[in-house]
Amino acid sequence: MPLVKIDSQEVEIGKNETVFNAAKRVGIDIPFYCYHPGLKIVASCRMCLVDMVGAPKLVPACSTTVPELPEAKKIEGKFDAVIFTDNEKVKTARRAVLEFLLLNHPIDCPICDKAGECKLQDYSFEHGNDASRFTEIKRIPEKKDLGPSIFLYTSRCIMCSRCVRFTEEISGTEELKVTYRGWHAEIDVAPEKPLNNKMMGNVVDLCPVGCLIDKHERFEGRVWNFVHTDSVCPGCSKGCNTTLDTMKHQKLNLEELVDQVYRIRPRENMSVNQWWICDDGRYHLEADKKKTRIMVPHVKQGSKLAEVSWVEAMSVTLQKIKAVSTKEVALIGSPYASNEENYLLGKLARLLGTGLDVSKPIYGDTQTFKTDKNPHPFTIESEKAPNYRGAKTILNLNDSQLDKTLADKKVVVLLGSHNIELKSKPETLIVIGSFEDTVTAQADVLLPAALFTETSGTYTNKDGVVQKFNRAINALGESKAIWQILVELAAGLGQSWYYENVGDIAKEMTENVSAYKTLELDKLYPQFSTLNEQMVV
Amino acid sequence: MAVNVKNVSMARGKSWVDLTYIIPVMKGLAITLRHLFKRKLVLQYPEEKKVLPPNYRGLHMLTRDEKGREKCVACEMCSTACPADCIRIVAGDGGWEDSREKHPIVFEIDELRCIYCGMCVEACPEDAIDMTDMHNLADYTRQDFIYDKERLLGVYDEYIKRHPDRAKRRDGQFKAMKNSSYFTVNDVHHSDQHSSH
Ligand code: SF4
Ligand code: SF4
Ligand code: SF4
Ligand code: SF4
Ligand code: FES
Repeated sequence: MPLVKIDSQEVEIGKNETVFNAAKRVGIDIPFYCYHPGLKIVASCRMCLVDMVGAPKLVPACSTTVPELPEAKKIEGKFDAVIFTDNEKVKTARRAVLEFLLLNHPIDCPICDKAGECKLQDYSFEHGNDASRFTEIKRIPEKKDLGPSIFLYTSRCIMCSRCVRFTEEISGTEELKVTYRGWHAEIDVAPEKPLNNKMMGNVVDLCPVGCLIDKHERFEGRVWNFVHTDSVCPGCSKGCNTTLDTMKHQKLNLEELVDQVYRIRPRENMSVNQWWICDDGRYHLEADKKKTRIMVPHVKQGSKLAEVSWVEAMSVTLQKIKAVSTKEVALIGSPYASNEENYLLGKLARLLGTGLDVSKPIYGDTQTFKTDKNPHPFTIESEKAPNYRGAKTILNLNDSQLDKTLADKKVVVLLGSHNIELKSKPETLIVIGSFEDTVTAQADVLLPAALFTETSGTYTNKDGVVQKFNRAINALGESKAIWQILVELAAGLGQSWYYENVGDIAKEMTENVSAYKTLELDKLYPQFSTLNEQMVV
Repeated sequence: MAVNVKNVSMARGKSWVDLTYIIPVMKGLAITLRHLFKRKLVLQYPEEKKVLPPNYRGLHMLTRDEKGREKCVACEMCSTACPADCIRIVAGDGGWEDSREKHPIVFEIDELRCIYCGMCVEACPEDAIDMTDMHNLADYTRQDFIYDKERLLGVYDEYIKRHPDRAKRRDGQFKAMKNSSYFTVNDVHHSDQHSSH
């Protein structure tokens, strides 16, 4: 393997490895714009220029590989290349590139949503000039509406072509193009062919500057006010890794702004979603906003559901369950609930000897984005639930057979509210759910459950990958995490369980469910006690 | 611990003149007399009011642009810079076609929480927030001290009424800045001059 010296460090560099990657491996950050690990290398922005001894001029690190030299020609007797990433020549080049990029840039950072996580800002600060020498009039091309969810602030573009390559190589939809040349080059779509595909939101994350802006998130908040929480998308059984952005609880008078998720962005996971997520997942909470959230417990009084307190709702629930023999009770798990919550439900069912089943997820369209240039085709799964495989494994079921299970049951406890089809309404229906739908309308007792943004736990995706999502905001209204509701229910039924947090349940689950024995819990739950949900029963 | 005790008694050993204190009293009266004929430093507040310097840091105002709208673009630089965390801004969409796309829907300053440091004014890239010489604020509830956008714009109207000269000066200064090359971008943006291919 070729040996290179980067600054003062010796690095073995792979045959086709770029200098950029090798430098990154040893902790040397080279600034870049057009390079993206998921896209073809075009080396067009020239931000990554480095000084390679012997080369006639500076070379772009993102596309330069190092061939092995014959013994006699090795530099300093052992190196195949000697590279400087930080000498005066490189610094001057960086300053020049940034000056060039800023020639026509409007620098409207105050109204630019990218400000704060903008590569142009960051690198200008780190490597650029402190003042502009440009006194001519700037070229300000008009902004464009590219499609249903993306705006193009043309003047901010630095022509890195990442967005164009994304539509060519990843989504394969090829809507974006570079039109005109040189000074006049602009990103554009063909007339009558707007940017409209199920992965278009990714171009906004890809854009290193604020040129592509998501209409859903425009002006929603300044990014430096956001805190980031690792999560998993519950949109389908693929289980894409995401980051939830919420407002910092720092300002005294911002309470009503704090308990909201402002953005969902992809989080890199090479074995699941690479760098992307689909727009169903990205705008998941937008869709949720159209549904009616259940905020407080309800109990049927007469023919109507009436709002009651938790204490009353719990006592009615227990009364109904205790009124019949346990054989006539069924607990139904959910493909939308976490592994831990399904585990608790299964445990309760086994201890009490009740019937046990899982509800069917909703099935929808599947779509695969495939191109010859992308080794990881992106598939949006048709199974629109995050945890069907997990729920089945944990509850030890082959498939959902609700009709059979519910045939002779009088009291049914249902997790989740996703328009579950019930052949006939059981005598007593207790629903633990988050949104109003056809099933919750029939319920005798309705217990409000927290969403995935409001609690922690793990999902098992379609390939059996167990991934953890974390609580980002407080549970809305009076809703509680499903596991907390189950623990309270169990307490009322004579089971005194004690779990300090979800991590405790996960620990017990790995001990009792054989499929989860090998789970490396300390990786998912680095510190059991850091989960901020505490519960004493 | 040893304590040094010192006994102090009345001017022992001094003459009877000293004991009457007549001389010190006369000296004091002379000083008072002298000051009667000097320039007076005290203002008869509130009948008389001091003219405060233009850079006095009092109540905030939100300035208006040529069209009478708030100049503020809701960039939240001021609330980010504010060490007292007393500015709350919610940005709104002024419309895709509008030259001023982003503007504040909510702009509130808690004038009781404020420490009148002026950081917000320093931070503002639009010259949209400024401080006035109004300092004698009084109200009945704490809630009344949370000034909303309309009230802050009202302060501006009041301020230019009180100090027409100052308003003109600060406006002129900004115009001069705007006409320098640094602001070329904005000027082009506001006119309909777009490049053609
Ligand atoms: S793209 Fe970056 S540098 Fe340009 S206006 Fe936006 S934040 Fe500022
Ligand atoms: S719009 Fe953004 S991603 Fe696309 S070329 Fe311009 S700067 Fe790059
Ligand atoms: S004067 Fe200081 S404390 Fe008051 S609002 Fe401005 S920045 Fe905040
Ligand atoms: S810094 Fe100026 S423009 Fe920005 S939000 Fe504050 S007042 Fe408005
Ligand atoms: S990152 Fe290497 S040339 Fe753009």
